[in-house]
Amino acid sequence: MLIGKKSLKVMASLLAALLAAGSISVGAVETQAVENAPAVISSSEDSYYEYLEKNSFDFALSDVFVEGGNFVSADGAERLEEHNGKNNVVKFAEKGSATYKVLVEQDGLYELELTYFCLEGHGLNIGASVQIDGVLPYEEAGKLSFPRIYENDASARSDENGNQYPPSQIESAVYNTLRATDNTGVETKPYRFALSAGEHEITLKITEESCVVAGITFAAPEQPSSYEEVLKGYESAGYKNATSLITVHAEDAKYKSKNSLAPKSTTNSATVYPSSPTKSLLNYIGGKNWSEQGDYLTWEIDVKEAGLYKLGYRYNQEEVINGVVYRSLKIDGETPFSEAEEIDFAYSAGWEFAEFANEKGEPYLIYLDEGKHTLTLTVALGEISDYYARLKTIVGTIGEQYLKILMITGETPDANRDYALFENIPGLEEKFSSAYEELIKLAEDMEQLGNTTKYAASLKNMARVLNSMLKNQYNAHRYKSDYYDQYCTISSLLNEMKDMSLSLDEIWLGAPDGDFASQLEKDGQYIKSGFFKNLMFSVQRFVNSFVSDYSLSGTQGKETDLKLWINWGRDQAQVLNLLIQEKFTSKTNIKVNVELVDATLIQGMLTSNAPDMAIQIARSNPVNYAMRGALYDLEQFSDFDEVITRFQDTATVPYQYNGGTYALPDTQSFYAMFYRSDILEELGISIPKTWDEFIGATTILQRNNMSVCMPYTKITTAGTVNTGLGGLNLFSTFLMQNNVSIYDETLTETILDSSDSINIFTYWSDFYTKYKLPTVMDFYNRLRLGTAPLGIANYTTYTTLLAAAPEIEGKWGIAEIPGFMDSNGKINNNVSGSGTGCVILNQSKHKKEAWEFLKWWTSADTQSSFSRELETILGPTGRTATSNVEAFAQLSWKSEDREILLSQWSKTNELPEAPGSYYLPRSVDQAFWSVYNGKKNVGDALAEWDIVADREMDKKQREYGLKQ
Amino acid sequence: MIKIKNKKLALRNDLPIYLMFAPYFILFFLFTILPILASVVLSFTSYDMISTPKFAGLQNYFTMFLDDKIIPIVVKNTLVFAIVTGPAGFILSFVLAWFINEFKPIIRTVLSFLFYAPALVGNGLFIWQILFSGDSYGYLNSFLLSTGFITEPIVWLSDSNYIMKIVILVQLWQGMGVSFLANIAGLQNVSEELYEAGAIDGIRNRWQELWYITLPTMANMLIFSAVMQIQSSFSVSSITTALAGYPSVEYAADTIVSYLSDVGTTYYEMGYASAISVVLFLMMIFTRQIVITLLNKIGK
Repeated sequence: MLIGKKSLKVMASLLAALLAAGSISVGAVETQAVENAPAVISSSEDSYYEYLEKNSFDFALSDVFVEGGNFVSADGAERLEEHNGKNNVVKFAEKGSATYKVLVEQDGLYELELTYFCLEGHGLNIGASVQIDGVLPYEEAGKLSFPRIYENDASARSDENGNQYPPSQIESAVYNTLRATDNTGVETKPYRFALSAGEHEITLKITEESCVVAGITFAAPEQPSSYEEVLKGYESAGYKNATSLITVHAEDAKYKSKNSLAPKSTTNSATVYPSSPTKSLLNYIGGKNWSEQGDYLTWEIDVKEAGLYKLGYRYNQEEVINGVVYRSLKIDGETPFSEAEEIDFAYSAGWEFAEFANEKGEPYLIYLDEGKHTLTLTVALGEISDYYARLKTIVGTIGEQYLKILMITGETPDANRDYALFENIPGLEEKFSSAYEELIKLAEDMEQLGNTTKYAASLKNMARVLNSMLKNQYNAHRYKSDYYDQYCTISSLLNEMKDMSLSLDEIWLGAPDGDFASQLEKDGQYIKSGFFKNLMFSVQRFVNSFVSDYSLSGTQGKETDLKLWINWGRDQAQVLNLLIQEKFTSKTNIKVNVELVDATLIQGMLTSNAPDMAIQIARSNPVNYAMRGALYDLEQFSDFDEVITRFQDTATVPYQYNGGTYALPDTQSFYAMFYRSDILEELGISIPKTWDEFIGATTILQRNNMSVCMPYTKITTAGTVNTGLGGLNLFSTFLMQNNVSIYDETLTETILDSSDSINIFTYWSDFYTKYKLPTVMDFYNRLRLGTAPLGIANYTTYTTLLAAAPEIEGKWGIAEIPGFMDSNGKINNNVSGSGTGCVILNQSKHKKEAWEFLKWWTSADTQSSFSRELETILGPTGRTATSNVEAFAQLSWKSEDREILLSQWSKTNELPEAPGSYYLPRSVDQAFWSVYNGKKNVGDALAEWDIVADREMDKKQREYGLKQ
Repeated sequence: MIKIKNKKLALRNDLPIYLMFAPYFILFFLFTILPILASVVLSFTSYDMISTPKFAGLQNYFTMFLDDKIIPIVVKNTLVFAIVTGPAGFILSFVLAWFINEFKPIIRTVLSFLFYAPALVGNGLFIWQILFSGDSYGYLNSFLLSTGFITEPIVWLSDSNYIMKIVILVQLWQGMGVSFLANIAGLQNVSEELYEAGAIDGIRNRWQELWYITLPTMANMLIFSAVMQIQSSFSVSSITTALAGYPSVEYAADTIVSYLSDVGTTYYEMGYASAISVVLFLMMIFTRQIVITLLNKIGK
């Protein structure tokens, strides 16, 4: 650190920087967006493409089918005579496999089609791998994924005001037939397998979840004819034009490939059907949840009149600005003609009508005979997929080279030194020039598409940087930060490009003669609502905004037994409210009025308007309230001991005060270790088990100019203090791993200044002072980028990585945090946790009922439903850090990661809270910074701040009569 | 008898005025005067917001003046703030207004907007957070690293050497807006004729013009802007907590207001927090008196 002399210099340059502040502020927003995405993508040895090149068979023409039950050997799989209407099937347990002998009559490329039934599990898609003759044909064949199918739960949800809420999405108990495809967006056609004529041994292994497989087909690739040919076929078959109109409400989709594809409601437009300015009605489906390749929706339609139909739809595509999204159409599971593989939906600022037609506006006709049919729209990438694949390769190269440059120059290269990058990194020049050419070509190709110019500009910027580096080889390191910025931009394009969000309101199958507008009008519908209708709608909405009852349940004004305050977003609150109505009130007959408030419990108590109970109360508050007599001791309930077995052993410790327990934990989180397996492997670092090994890994990484993350949350508000020490940094974890306590035995004093504590504090703060690890780090992004390939972070980072970093899938892992070895050679890697609790207020007149509610709220069933429903709305990041062990295990974790997380969680050891102990995290924080800034040595700092914390504790204990 | 009649008459005559005054007065009483009185009363009690207040006499004041280790730090910080950002902000805003007033109307409007903008962007603070971000990607760190002034990133907002300076800078940037606008308005109200008359009476330069004509004419505006400036520099807290957090490292940038809200909301010591606020209130009244006395000397 620099102090003194240098600080003058620093202040001077600070002034200079301030002059530039105005211009910087403009750039700020962009940089933030840019920081988002980069990731290093390295190409693998036996990729699908190389496989296809090596095996240049023609497409197969006939299918090879084998029934699930006809395996020759199996491990973890059993034959079932009959299951859900299918005979001779095989039931796979997780990690089960079965081997089949199939006779292939003809050389060819086949696609793998499974007819499968998902068994109840953790809500993950079925993961599978396929080996042919004992070998994995290519890397991707080991990571096949088959989606679960969801449908609306039969019970529609609505309240007394007529507002409708999305029904729960439940798994459909049906067999699904799907071909294995790539879900990352590189390959749009199903995966192909080259099979030569003769007998082959096929091994199917279910790597994730469990399922029943009825049949495995090596199917001939679909080669739909062109529309022209199909049209000729229509003519020769003598099909007639239909004369009637079939209306499909998109929100009524029967099957969905994701549980987040629930019907939605909007009150923004009079056009959407059904629409109401005053009530929320379910009226469309899709949006951001329907954007990833392979996501599909299936509708059932009942055709009364056989004939040729044309297809129209009302849609809203406002996510991809000035861009196009694609869907592929299947009727009864078959693509009717090749044009239906890529239906494009242009950008629209509102709800628009469009017809499935060719460039001249002539509609494509689809033949449907009388009876029930299914219509499926699947997210497709269209021509974007080719660009995506090309860009992905380029980004991969650029990312790899970035890490190599970084290893030589460090984060901030010295401008005046020649690093001889092109000599030190073999092949850099060739890689740069080929990347440059490819970028330019890609940019040109994309510009021709017309509406992707914004992508093209970024690509050209990257190309420009590469070109400058090639031209100024001695000064190439000066472009490092520019290189980095552009690299971030183009790698974030990778994700952006694949966004195929689309909302659908209505789908129509209409008579080819006569336009849609008049057909709809005859039926009392319209393509777009008229001006006056829109005006009326807007006026009504405006007026209604003054009178509408925005309370949650619609039970406002009635006798309610319990009052619950929450201050979350409306969506989350709505989920909870619906759960309460469906699963709590209906069973116990206790009514709960959920109130969305922006007030603290204290304010409620002051005005004696407090709720009966509160949930997700910050860590240190239950004891704070309890010592003032505001909370009810939950141990008074006879089944308390039984209830707390739901949680980890020490989970209730922070809520204990003076012999009572004043809260039940409802969320709990802890630290886990995250690492980039590819980078650690390359550098020969094994996953550290002890902190000494961790330091070893840190120094190796630092020698390569990379960094490591040790979590540090600076205390900035009362809110951070309330998190508790365990969730802020690793100091308390270090103490715990050495069996050193932070309080004395009676919880009346902190012993921060004991010699053990000083040693541990030194060991811990050395990470930041001696090893110079940053205290502020965006670990998530740096792990993606690879500049911080190892680190400790809250376990919830897992969900974020899983959901938002698909490009490093399979290249990162989690592990338990390191520990200290004790004298017996055993490693103690306990961890201290953080979390929230739910409480019952002393003012409540219905404590028994409130206790029923808390028991219900913390039960495994409620916690897992709540978390799942939130995921439905918010995506995987909506998952809550539940404290219920059983509920945690039910959530969609990958199976091997679940074991690691559960094991680490079981080692969570919570710190107790005591009156005045809210000062402890602050003292540790203050001591840390005086050490970090070089102002004091560890002993002095701890001694000084130990006194301050003790005074506060002492004062509070006297005030509340715990000490005389 | 006559006197009483007169009084009644006067009351009747003034009734409309009282009525018109009433809505404001009622609100002002309920939301300003009453809370002040309440906090004076509470400052003599021990009150944790849940149990009923207990009378504690002068205990809170004893604690504040004799026992609390943090009070001296935050009082010092507040005074440094008030002394630097108060007069500096006040003078800076006047000088700026004076300069800008010389421009043509269109340019003047544009410039006034530019200088008032920071006061409008309430959350514009985040720009400074990025500028002073503690990792190597923060703008200032990145700039200093690449130019070679420093070799490792400085955690600006966690180093007690820098926190206060940075916060003062941001406060100056953001706090100038209101008094700047008041000053511009005041400058435009100064009548041209006065300057002409002054020129005839022997004013020789712009300084004399400023001292003898401009400043005295806009005395009321100056008092307004000074009071606003005092009030804002004494009650700075949101900027420091947004930038440096609460508590900042070694309480280097914490002010009386941020400390008292901490005492109230984290320690639940409403009585003590009230006592602190009473003292702050007195400090502000005292300073205001000094400033007004000083301003009255202008042009004399």
